[in-house]
Amino acid sequence: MSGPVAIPTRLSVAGVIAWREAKATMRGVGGLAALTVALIAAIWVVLVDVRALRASGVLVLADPLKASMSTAILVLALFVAVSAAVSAARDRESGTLEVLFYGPVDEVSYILGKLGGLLLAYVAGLPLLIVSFAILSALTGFALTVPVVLGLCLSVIPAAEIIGFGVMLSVGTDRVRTALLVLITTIAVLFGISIAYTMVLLVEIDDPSSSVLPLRDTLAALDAVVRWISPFAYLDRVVDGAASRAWRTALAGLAASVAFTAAMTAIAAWWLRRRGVHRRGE
Amino acid sequence: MIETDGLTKRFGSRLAVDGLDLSARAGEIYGFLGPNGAGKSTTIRMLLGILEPDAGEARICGRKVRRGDREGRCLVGAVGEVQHLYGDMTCLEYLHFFAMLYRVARPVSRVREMLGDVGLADRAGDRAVDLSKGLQQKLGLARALLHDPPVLVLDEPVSGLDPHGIREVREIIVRERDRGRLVFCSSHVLSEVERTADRVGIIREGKLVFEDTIGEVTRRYASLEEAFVSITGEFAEKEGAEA
Repeated sequence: MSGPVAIPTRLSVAGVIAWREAKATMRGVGGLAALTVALIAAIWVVLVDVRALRASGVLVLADPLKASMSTAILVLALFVAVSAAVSAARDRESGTLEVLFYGPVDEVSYILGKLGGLLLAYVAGLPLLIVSFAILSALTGFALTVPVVLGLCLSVIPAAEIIGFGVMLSVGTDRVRTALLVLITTIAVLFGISIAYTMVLLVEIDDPSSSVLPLRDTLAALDAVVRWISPFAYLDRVVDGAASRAWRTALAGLAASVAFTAAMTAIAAWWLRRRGVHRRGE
Repeated sequence: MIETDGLTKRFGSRLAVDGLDLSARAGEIYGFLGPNGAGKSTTIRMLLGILEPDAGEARICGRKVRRGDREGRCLVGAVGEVQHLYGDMTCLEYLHFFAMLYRVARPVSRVREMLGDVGLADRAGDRAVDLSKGLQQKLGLARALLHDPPVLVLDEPVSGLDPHGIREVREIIVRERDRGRLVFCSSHVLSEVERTADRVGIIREGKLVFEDTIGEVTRRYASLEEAFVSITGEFAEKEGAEA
């Protein structure tokens, strides 16, 4: 009875969990489906521009592939958000979370492992996207510029906070179905506020006593809050900032993403410790 | 090896474990018995560092059990009633994953060795979830023994197994005891405990109400089952009278 040769460190444990999570995510059909949807969405955005070019004969865009690249990144980010949101809930529901905690796994190593694994899966999708966009560029003649590719590479940092956000939601739930529901509701509320605000801005208001004004002000305030708390807002800032060569915006977005990731990881670990590894009532 | 000192756990107003004092030694099988809801699983979860006690403490190999203590957890191998396996892993992959978690030296050969040890060498490439319950239990035992811990904690290891499965698991448990490990085992299958355990402790309503060697139990009572029914029934009567 010698026991293990080396006592597992938090990082070594997180690394093993991360590798397992990354492999499981990439092996599944979900990853492939997300990449396919991301590419289809990107091609559709490019086709809209191609049609506009055909119709008018002129298309003035600094980076014609920027919008399609942002769309593809958003799809991939949504995929890792869903994967993160079900990850801990699935482990708790199936009982594997408890078995992991029989061993040298603690809350921090578990959360870091989940975060690292899903981030690895996200990173693995990026080269495929770059190659696909290079082909798209060759086919359409639309330039694939360095800032757009840089925006894609930098998206890894805000992707981490999106994953952290998903994992944080996941540790608070007992079942995969509940976790998905919580994530979808959260995303719907966050995007819903931004979309509603954009739409209300389009309404022309001539009468200063219009009832639309207080609604617009409320939505403006909510939208400002969403820009701070939504992990997807940071993704947009970093990718769009880099692709538009707005380096200050991109750097600020990166710094905020790092802070957001650290905060989400800490909250998730704390919450998991409070909730324990069992389902409620077990 | 395992010592608890005033171990207490409360869930809301319910006292699940009430000042539990027990000790189990190396090289013995300690049968931890009690009726449903007596506090066995709560005690085991505290021993494994999954639940924090509200009062008292547990020590394993002299080391105080604390939540998140990675070094402490390496002293114990634990197997539950259900194995909760990963659906996408073969037996080999499953054990290799845990060997990596424990940082076991030469993980590939150790995993092969453990599969052979529990009689699953020819099932290495099979999906773990496709195994019968008995074989899954053996795989769980292999996982718990991978890092060669001095203490093995088993929660209902033979529950739901057929006679072949019970015999195979029993052989592994006895062998590990003979290798010098402490096997701390909760079970409802009293005939099995009587057959394998060296000492038993009976817990009821969170309190240890009886502890003795199996030889002494069978000397005083007709069987362990008789002792269990008599002790837990007697205790319930006393409680009723006091109330």
